[in-house]
Amino acid sequence: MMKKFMIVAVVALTAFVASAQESREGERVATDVCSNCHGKDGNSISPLFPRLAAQREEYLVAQLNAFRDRSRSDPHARAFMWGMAQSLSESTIKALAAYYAKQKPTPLPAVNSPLAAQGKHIYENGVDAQSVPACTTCHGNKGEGTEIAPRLAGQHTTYLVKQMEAFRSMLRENDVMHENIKNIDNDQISAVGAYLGSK
Amino acid sequence: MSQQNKFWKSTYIVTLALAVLTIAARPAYAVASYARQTGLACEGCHTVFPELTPFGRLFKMNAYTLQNVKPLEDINEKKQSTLSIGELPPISAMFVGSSSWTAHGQPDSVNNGKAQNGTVGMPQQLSLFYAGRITDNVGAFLQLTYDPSANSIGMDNTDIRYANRGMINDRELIYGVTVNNNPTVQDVWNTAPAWTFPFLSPMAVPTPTAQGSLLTSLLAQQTAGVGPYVYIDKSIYAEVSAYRSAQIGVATTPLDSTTADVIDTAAPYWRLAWNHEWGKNSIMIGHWGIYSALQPGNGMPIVGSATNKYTDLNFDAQYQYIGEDHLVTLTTNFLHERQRLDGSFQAGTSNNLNHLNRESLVAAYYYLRKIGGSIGLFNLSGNSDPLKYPSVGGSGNIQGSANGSPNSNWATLELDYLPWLNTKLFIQYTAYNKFNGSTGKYNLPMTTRSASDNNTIYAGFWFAF
Repeated sequence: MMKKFMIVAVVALTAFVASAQESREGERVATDVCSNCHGKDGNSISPLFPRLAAQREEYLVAQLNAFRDRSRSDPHARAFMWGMAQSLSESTIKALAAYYAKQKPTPLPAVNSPLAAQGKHIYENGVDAQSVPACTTCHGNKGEGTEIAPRLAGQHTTYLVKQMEAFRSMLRENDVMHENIKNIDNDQISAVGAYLGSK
Repeated sequence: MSQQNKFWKSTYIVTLALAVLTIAARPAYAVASYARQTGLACEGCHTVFPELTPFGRLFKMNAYTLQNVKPLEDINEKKQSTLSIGELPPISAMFVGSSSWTAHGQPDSVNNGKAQNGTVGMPQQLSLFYAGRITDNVGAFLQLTYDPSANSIGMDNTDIRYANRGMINDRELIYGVTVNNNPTVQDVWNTAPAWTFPFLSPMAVPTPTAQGSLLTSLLAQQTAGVGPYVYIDKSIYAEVSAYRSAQIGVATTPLDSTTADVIDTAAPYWRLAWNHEWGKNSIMIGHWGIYSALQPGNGMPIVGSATNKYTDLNFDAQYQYIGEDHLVTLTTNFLHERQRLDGSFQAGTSNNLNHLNRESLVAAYYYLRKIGGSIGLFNLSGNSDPLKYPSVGGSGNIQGSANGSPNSNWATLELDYLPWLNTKLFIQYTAYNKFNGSTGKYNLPMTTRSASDNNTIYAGFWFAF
């Protein structure tokens, strides 16, 4: 009995230490390297770089892997993240994703413009006439993200607009987004970006 | 004036003229080995090279150590890192080829009519860099430059630094120590004399005499400085350094009375800047200063002689907008230099008290980092000193001043095309409104050359690879 207990205790302790080390590694890399662009705690200042605080862990892992194996190849990915991700290990990717998923997003000022209201309508209902589905289906009712799609709430409007344009022009790879966004126009992209950027 | 004083005065003028021409042709830099080390494209650190982005400034303050390629590593028995270097040496090169033309040709060097108008530099400059990480916390920017006018290779800008990071009261902190050979070469904003527009200047054309007599021009690459710096929360930058003379190309050691502008003891340099970043914008408002007592040389004993004392107080600001498509940078500088020239005054080559002010305003715009340019307005003013800025006859008559005034103002317009991020094709035009104290014929009766005769077209290409 004692022997079994000791084995369980050692395994549990090892797992705890490994988890703590991974957590520290995630924080170290995030603080020393990623924070230069993505800001302290993942709340970036510049809209050239996405806010990562509270982003879905599985999405971050997928994106870091896509940067590392260069399967995500939009211009910004090539210029910045191909280099930054090229030497990340599996464990560091997991640690970084876990670190950012736990960070608290700083609130952005609320925007009650007609543009944001239009964006809210598109986000929640889609545009039937253009075969644009509601974004809520994948990204959640409040843009909080789901297991299959990233958090969008509180993201920089400029960044969101740039990404939607990249999906529409197929600069950024994603079959689902290519299909969903192919008929949306520039004004509608701006509206959705304004709405999500103010959440 | 005694024969000896005349000799030293002539030597001083020729030296100053050479210094002006040499400094005017000295460009600034951007290197490719940092891109190889970090895996980042040029735009990570540069708007358009060599101007730095906010990330580029952090990379430099972090001692050029960010590395994303697999290093060669070693540890000791306590698992402490003892070696972490790149598999490839961080070697880069830079090549500038150019041609420059003045509005009116310059006189032949032995007063035999006119010289060829259109000086071709092929290369104007060729530089080799060791630029990258040395250890986890130490990195370097070392530059060797081939100077075609001297047909020699020499040490150029150097910045070796240690840096580390920490937190104070939940505020991010970068701290480090820089060792460098040019006051302001360690600075990260593009208002610093070592890194400001115009990044390239034409070869072998006249430039205002007083430009080369500014303290930072006298000390560039002729000093060794060391000092600590801190950058708090991407907001406050502070640095204090001390410089001593480390002149290159001087045969005698230790430095003695045959060498001019040797720093007496040490020259303190200080820098304080406030930085703010929001959205795609960043702004810096700052101040730097340096005080230096320089031995006049030219036969004056290096110990115990009267010195030339310079105090520089500079106020600068930079605004950057970095969008996906449009990039805008505005910089401005206000420099006041006070000169108490006890040494030169005793030697009869200058007033005792002088001052120089230099103001600049530069605006740059680029579209898609591909096409754009800069326009800069410059003003240099100070009190007259016919001994320091004399009327010059004979072969040197393009640099003299009839009224002994340093006052000059001019505008420089540069258009750039970058077919690739590391290749810049440029054409630049500099127009002088006032040159060495006059808007018209500035060196009468020695020559009828006017300020606008020195207007210069300068075109070329710049590769960084």
